[in-house]
This record gives sequence, C-alpha cells and structure tokens, in this order.
Amino acid sequence: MNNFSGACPKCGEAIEKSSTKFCRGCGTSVERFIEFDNPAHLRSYEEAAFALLSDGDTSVDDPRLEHLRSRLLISQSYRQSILANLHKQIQSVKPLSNFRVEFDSNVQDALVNGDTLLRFRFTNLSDSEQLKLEICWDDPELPEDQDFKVFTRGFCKPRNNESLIQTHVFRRPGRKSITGILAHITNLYGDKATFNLSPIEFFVASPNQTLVQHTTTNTSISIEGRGVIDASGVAANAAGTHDPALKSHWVALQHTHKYESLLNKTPAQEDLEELAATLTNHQATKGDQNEKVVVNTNSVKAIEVDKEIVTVGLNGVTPTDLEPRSPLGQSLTKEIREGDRRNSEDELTRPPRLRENIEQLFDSFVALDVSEGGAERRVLLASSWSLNLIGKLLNQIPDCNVEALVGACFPDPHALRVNTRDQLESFDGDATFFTDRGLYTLSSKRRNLKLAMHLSWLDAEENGVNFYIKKFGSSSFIVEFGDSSAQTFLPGCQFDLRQYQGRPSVQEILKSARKRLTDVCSSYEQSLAILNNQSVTSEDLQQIPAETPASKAFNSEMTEAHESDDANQQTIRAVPDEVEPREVKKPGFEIVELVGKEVHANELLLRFLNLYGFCMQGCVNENPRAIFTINNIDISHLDTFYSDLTYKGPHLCALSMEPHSAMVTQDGKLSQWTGSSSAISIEGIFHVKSGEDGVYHLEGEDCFLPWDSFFGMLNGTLIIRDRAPDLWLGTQNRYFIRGSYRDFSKEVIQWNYFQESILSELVALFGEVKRVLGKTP
Amino acid sequence: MASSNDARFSRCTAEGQEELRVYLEWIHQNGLPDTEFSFVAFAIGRAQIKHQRDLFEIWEELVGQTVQATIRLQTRRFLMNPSREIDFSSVETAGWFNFLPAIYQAARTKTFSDLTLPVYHKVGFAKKG
Repeated sequence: MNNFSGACPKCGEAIEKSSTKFCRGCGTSVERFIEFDNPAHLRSYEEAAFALLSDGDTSVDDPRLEHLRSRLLISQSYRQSILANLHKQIQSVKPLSNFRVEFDSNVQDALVNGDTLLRFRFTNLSDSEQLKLEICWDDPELPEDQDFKVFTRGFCKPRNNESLIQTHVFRRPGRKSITGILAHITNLYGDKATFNLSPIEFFVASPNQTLVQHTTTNTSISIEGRGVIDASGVAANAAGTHDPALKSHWVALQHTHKYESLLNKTPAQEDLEELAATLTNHQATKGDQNEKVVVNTNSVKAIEVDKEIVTVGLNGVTPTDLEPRSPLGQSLTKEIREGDRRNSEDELTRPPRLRENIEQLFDSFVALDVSEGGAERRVLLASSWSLNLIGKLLNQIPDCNVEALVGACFPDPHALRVNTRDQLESFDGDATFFTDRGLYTLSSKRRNLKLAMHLSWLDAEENGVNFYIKKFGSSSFIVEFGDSSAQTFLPGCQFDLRQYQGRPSVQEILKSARKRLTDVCSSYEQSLAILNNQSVTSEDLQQIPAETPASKAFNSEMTEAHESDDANQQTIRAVPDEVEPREVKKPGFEIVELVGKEVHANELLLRFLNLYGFCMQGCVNENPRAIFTINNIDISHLDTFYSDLTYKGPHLCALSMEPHSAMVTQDGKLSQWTGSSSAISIEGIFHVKSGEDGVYHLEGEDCFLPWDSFFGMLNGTLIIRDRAPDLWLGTQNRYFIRGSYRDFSKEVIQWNYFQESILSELVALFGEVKRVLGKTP
Repeated sequence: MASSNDARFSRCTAEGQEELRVYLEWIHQNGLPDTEFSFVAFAIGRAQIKHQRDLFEIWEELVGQTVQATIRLQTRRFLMNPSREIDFSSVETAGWFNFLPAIYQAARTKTFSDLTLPVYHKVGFAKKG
C-alpha cells in the first residue's frame, strides 16, 4: 500500500517496505518525509547551529540542536554533514581568531565626495601565530572596484599591533553605520579565515555645511557693527593644549567567524581563487582604472588561445554566422536550462496545485451532498469544525497539521453534534477525512476517535479508489467513492441521488469529480517527486533508442515474470522451485544461481556498471576505480567477502566505494577495501561495511535497497548536470550508491569526451536497466 | 614592469589595451608566468566572481545561443580548466583582453545560482529471505 520505505529522515530508523505509514522509531508519518530538508530550513538550521557551536560551550550533541533539527525537519544525513562541516571549520579557525581590531571613531574631515581617512588598529593577540589582516567593505553606493580595502603591510608578529589607514570616498552625507565589514586573516602557513566585524559609525558631512575649526591662539570675534575685537586674551588658556577633536578614539570591533556554508559548497577552486585573490591588492591601487566599463560586445574579435589545443572565442565570426549546435549540444543546453529552472522551483516543497486540486475534488463531494436536497449536510469543510475536534483529530493523525485538513464525509447528518457557534464538535460512527496527504478513515464512539485506515493519494490511485455509480433506473443513481473494483465505499462516501433531478446532471458531476481525482493523484506524485527531483533524466531517457526486437522480447518476458510473481514479493527475482541454492562456505550464506531472464538482467547491469565505473574514473582508465565490477575483483577477496556475510541471493555484479578506500592487486583488481561500500546485484544495493578486524558485514538493519525502491519510491535516477559538470545515481540532492558521484569540473576535457562518446550509450543502458530492474510504470 | 612592446597591444581596443596593461603589471609584480591560468585568475579576480563556471556562464551569455558546440566545449575547457603551461602571450590572445570589460559588466548585473553538491545518503531496509 505504502510507497515509501527506507530510513526515516527524522530518527534514522529503518522503514520496512511492506509496512507502513509511520516510522516505528519516532512515529513520523511516512507521508511527511517529503517535508524534510527544505532548502530554506537547511540554511536556518546551519546558521543557528553555527551560532550555538561557535560559542565554544556547545557540543554537537547539545539538546538545543536536536530540538532545532526536529522543528526544522532536518534529516539525520544533513544534520551530520552540516555539523561536521561547521565543527571542522570552527576548529580550524581557532588559531586564527586570536586578534583584536579597533576603529578610530573620531573620523576627521569626513566630507562627501572627498577623501575620508579611516583608521584601524590590528593587534595580534596570539603567542605564536604571525597574522596578516585585510579589511574589506563592499560599499553599495560605489562600483566594486572602489570598495574599501586596507591591509597590513606584512605579517604582524605575536603580541604586536599595526595601524591600517586608508581613505574612502563617500557619495552621500549623513550618519554612517557601516555594516558588512569583513576581516580576512592569513597566517604564515597560508591558513585563511574570514570574520565579520561589528558595525562602525561616524558622520559624513556635506562640504557647504562644514564648520572648520581654526586652532590658532589668535581668535577673532566679529561683532557686527562694532569692528573687530582682538580676543587673544580669551584664547590664552587654550594655547598649548591639544584639540580634543584630534584625539583618537579607539573602539574595539567584535569579530565573528564567517563560515562557509556546506549548502553553497561547490567543487574546490582553491588554486585559482588564491591566485585571483592577489588581484585584490592590485585592485586596491588600480581600481580607478577600471571605472565605468562600457563595451560593445559586437566588437569582440577573434581569439585563438593555443593552436595545438583549442580555439576559443568567436574567431571573428558574429554569432549569427555560426553553425547551429549539434543535436546533443542543443539537447544538453535545454536540459541544463530546464534543470536550472527546476532547481529554483525546488524551493517549494509542494506543488501549489496539490492543495487547490484537493479542494476542488472535495467540492465535488459537497456537490454530491447538496444534491441529496436535504437541509442537513454531512459533507463538511474543515473550516466548520471546532478546534476541539481538530485537536482530537490531530492526536489521531500523527504529523498531520491543521493546514493539511480539507474536509470530511460523515455517514449520517443526525450523528453530527455542533456547538453553540455552529461548529462541528463531534460525530458518531465512521467518517472519511480528506487531507493533502491522503484519505484517513476514523471511527468515533462516545466521542473517542480512533484512526482506522490511511491511504495516501498514491495508494488510493493504485488501489483503484474512485467514484462509481449504481443505477436504479434511467435517471436514478447511487454514487459511491471507494474501491471501484470491489464496489466497497469509504465511510460516508455513499450518496443517494435516486431522487435527484437537478443540474448539473449526475454524469456531469461524476465526470468532473473523476478528473479532479486524477489531478489530485498526479499533483501528489509531483509533490513526492520534488524531494527526489529528476534533474535531467526524464529528457535523457527520451533519447533512448527505440526498443529492439530482442530487448522487446526480453522485456516482455520480464513483465510476464513480474505478473506471475507473488504479490508480496519485493524483488524481481523469481527463483524456480527446482533450482537448488548453492551453499558457499558458511551455513548462513547462499548464492542463488541465476536463471533465464536473470542472466540477461545481470549482463545488462554489468554492462551499465562497467561503463558507469569508467565515468567514475573521470573517463581515464588509469584513474583510481570507484566501481569494481565482478571481473575486477580478486577471486580470493571475493571468497572472503562472501564468507563473511550472512546473505542469500544472486552473486554480486559490482562493489562500489569511494575511490581511495580500495586496495588493488598489481593487475588492478580489488584486493580489499576499508570503510563502507555498496555491493550491487540485480536484486539491489547492499550497504556493506568492512570492520576494523577486516571482516565484512551488512551495514545495519537497513542494509538493503532493492532496485524497485530505488527507481520507484525514491525516484532514483541518473543525474547529469552539464553546468557543474558532474553526474551521479540518486536524486537531486543525494546519491544512494557509494562512489557513484563524479565531479568533472576539474576535468572538463574528459567531460567533453564523456558528452561526445559516452553519454548517449550510458543513458540508453541506464534506461534499459531501469526498465528491467525498476518495474517502472 | 609591464612591457608596452607586447605584440598584443596592437590587436587590442583602447579598453583592451588598458586591461592588458593592468594584467601585465599584475603578473610582473607577482612573478607569474603569462599563461592561461594567470589570465583566468586575473579575469575572475577582476570580475569578482566566485567560480570559473560563472565566468563560462557569462561567456555563454555574451556570445549567444548559436555558438558552435566545439567552440563551446573548448572555451569551457579554457575557462574552467586553464592550463598552467600553455603560454598566453601570443598575439592571438589579444581578443580576450577586449572581452574582459564585457565580462566585468555582465558580472555586476548577473545573479549566479548556487550549485549544491549531492551528498551520499544511506537508504535501505531489512533484507528478506
């Protein structure tokens, strides 16, 4: 019934596929899993976690962090990644944070459009580190090349201080509160950290409003009509003293580490960034040369970078003269653009149409109810329920919230009790509740509510829940909503329309209602898909060549096998009774021989994994492998591997792991590995771990991910991003097979090769694997 | 000091010449070789953009949709994986300095979307049978 299984994102508890609506560990509704890891919530969590962890007293196990995670619906995997990233950064930045920055708030001659001198004092409080400081401020009123930047002359020695003085031109007068000042600290070893400095304040005057103070001892006071009086004696006391206006007034600025968000992290470009950073200094002196760049892009001329390797640029040809892209290029461009557009849409956790569609569907029930002609209604919108009833409902429906409730169909209007405000307070009997997560039936006895059944909209569709009609005469009908094949209706969902003569007709109401139900189911599917968004593959798969007669026959054979399988069987394997399992070494371990169609499936998967493994090597045979297909695993190692496991199933197709955890023999075969890996067979993916004692074992209760779940409930797919460029097997944000992610951003030539020579074959093979192993609809 | 005798000056527009002058000064001051790598570092530093892929995105935007696929692939290689060995001082590279101001201008107005990398996620349940 339920279409989600896997690990609960909230508590990590394994969810068995054949069950179930709620996590056994924490009670979270499986339907609610789609709400986890909302990008905005991830950011909030990361920010808050950083604020807590950076105070030095909070550990990653602090209950406040767990509470925060629970409130923001952050999955265990993201929690671990985010906290590990923050912890690492906080630890690494500690040696660099021992400094003080002060600002001289007594800013002199701060005039609009004139040079204003800003003074900072940097004190290195460390006992051992030599530190270099650069202070930057992005002035929003000025072009970027005129932003404020000042830096120490070199490394400041421990326990020393240094002044940093730089002028800046302000465009508008008034009191300035300058925020967003960044302090970049570097030590001798090149370790870097960026800190936010607290805001500074001072006043910038307009030149025509400025009072200039002359610090002469001969002060003249002009008195209109009386000439000039020498007032030197008046100023005598001031002679020889310093003008307090010229004294420095140092204000210490707080600094807080500006962490690098895990969520923004993209492939490292350290070298280039480091080099580019040297331009910062250069720009500080050359910035004015860069002012107001206005370029006619049509004037861009031919550029040839290197005759041997590449020709880059426009080669003197205007864009209109150029040949159209190759179909592959056009296709990729479209994919990437659409992928990017979808990425931005992914900010939404649920398609806006879902709620609207459910409300429209419920309108059909309201219409059917009204059609009975009675004054007492039994199809009621949630807006007419008392808060007391809603509270009771929510107690019975874990992880459902008020906003999810739409309405309910009750069997008998006389069994409904309303309060003085005409709100439904309670009911007797069984009723069906409509929510944006699906249908719930609850029974109420003596005001005690009890959840009887839940069907997600997907379950409802798969179980043939629909409107059906019973005819009593030419225009006499009973309409029911429920299992249309068994003709059993859900509580409250039978509508007696035998006397109904009105407009619209029953057929018209039904036609509209059925369409609305279809809309609800499809938008619900979309909402699930958003979590596991298929970035590119849907279009990729359109490129798959038409089925060959052989593959058609093979697929047909597979389909028949599926149909003949027991309904409860979870995998595609169908082992005939006459095939005796072959026992290998350990009593708990059985390798099952492949037969007929399974051999083909195995060959297909092997071909795909061979090619995919080559991609994971960056399309260079000499690179370390991440995926070792069976032919690339040392036999003795394979025996050890099998003998360690308690396992029954077909033999492995491949072992997949992070490249550097593998150890290989001289001929390049896998001899052993450390840590976790994914063992892949036609059944699915096994999470396997190599223990410290060198013994392999299945990794926990949730060690198995079958292909039908990978392709079905998880919407796992082959994702290819041309923009990054990179590829992986999984969903928009996750990959489910270890070692199945490859970032090509540093190997663009190889990516070009991949696109030209491998992409189409890989996509075609993947499509076939998905058809054969994934039971795709 | 920057060499005003560099052959590329003759092929540059006035703005390109200015960029070339700043570039030459920069590589001389920092003792850098005149290679693809230095040029791309110069471009992303001056344009104040984070990643080379953003630079490539700007290039794509500026040259339009109809650029040849081969040129696109080659340019991406150049902008995203500039070589530390390939010399950039030949006169043929002058066009890139003319191109720089357009890059700066586009970098100021363009918003670059963040790219989130996928993370490994263990999903599974008990194996039956």
